[in-house]
Amino acid sequence: MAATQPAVRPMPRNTWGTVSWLFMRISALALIVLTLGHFAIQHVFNDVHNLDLAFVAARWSNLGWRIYDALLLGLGLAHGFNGLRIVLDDYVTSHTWNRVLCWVILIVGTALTIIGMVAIIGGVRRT
Amino acid sequence: MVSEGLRSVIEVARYRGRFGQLQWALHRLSGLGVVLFLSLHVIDTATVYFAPSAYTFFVSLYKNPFFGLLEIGLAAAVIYHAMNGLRLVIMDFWPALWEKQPQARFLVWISFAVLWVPTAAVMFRNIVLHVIK
Amino acid sequence: MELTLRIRRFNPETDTKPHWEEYTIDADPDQKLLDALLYVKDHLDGTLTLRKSCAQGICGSDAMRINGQNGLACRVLIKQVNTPVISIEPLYGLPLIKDLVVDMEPFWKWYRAIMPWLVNDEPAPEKERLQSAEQLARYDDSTKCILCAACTTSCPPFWANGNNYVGPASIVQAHRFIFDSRDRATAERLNIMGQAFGVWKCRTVYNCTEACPRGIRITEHIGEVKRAISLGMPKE
Repeated sequence: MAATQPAVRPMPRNTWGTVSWLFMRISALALIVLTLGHFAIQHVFNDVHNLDLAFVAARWSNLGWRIYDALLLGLGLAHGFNGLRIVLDDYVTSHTWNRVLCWVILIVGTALTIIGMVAIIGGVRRT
Repeated sequence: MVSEGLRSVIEVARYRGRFGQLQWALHRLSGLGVVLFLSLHVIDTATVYFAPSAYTFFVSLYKNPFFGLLEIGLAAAVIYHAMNGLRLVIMDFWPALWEKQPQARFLVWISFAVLWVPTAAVMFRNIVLHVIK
Repeated sequence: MELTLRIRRFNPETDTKPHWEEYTIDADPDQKLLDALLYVKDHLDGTLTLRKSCAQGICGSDAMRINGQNGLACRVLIKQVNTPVISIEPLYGLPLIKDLVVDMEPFWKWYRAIMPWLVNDEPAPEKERLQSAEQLARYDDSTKCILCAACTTSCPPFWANGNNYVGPASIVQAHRFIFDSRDRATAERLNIMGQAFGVWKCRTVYNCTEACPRGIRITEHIGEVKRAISLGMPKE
């Protein structure tokens, strides 16, 4: 049989698919440690009823904890909101709505990350 | 249209998929629950910087035993999502383990129980102690 | 034994929507479900419409949903189902034509999209293009596919968004060529699989593997394609 010309149009490579897939898995591994650790600290090793501004300020006086919380915040929101985007891809088939809601997810996710990071960097403000 | 997506959700309930379908559905539901919670949690914690008096208000709200019980549910969602997610990551990156799929599913439930039951017990104990006080 | 078949009927000429009808027959537990269906068609209701051809699990014509799970009617024995009432419906996710017959065209469309032919323009050898047993083993499992559509129509992402997802069967067929050492279009195939409508729509639900009448490890093969795209093809 002579050389076959593929019947399929050439398509640009879709790197986002790969990036998203790898990111979800790598962030998942980090988040398992970060999230379960955070939960253990807040709810098991400490009583959540003892939580107050002083408690947070004491933790954040240690730079290590601020970095921990920043990683938890950034990775957690990214993993979670990318997950939202994935669920969106499954259920919203209208192309316009899909794009619009995708942007909403991106904007809300970024906004929350910025708000959280500012708070971590700024620290507890005593009234 | 959204209706096709909605119909497909109903079909998930009708189709007798076995554990794979159940674990996927729980993974999705727990993920949605956690990300919703996380969004609210980022806001309420950020008030330590933006509006500290609001933080005190939120914390007093969460000391309510109703929220305490919700938090135990949240713990279940986080731990399940993490353990099932771990199974998925392992299966995705270590293909030789694919043959052990049934055992992996079982391990997800075991590790969930090992992590969640003591956590829920401690949290419940704290709620009760606080209510009694 | 007495057996009741609860069949989802739909006649496009007279019905606005599908409805259930029941037929009680005297069945032999060692017989195939297809035999029971054909008995109903031959003796009770000649209008019952279904596809069948080889009746022995090779042609893939009679895939349907049996007691809520996809399978081939000619491969399922009545004693395996083991319920006094067996509910039978057409596959979900493909347009319904009549009774148990669905329009397979969207399925074929996705199949064509993955280039289901060997690409090798090197000068042909004197005899065969040789392949070792190890090389064959890499894709042997995915050659078993009979294109029955049981897997694709058991897939929740495909139900939700069938217009934007190739479906498990097409990925298995693509896998068959991607991991065939004689094929030379690997990069192009992986590019197709990496598109938004390709492997990334798979949510690892696993229904496909459970529905496959040929026992193909579909989810595992989809995972192999995902890894090939993200991490590169494995060394031979």
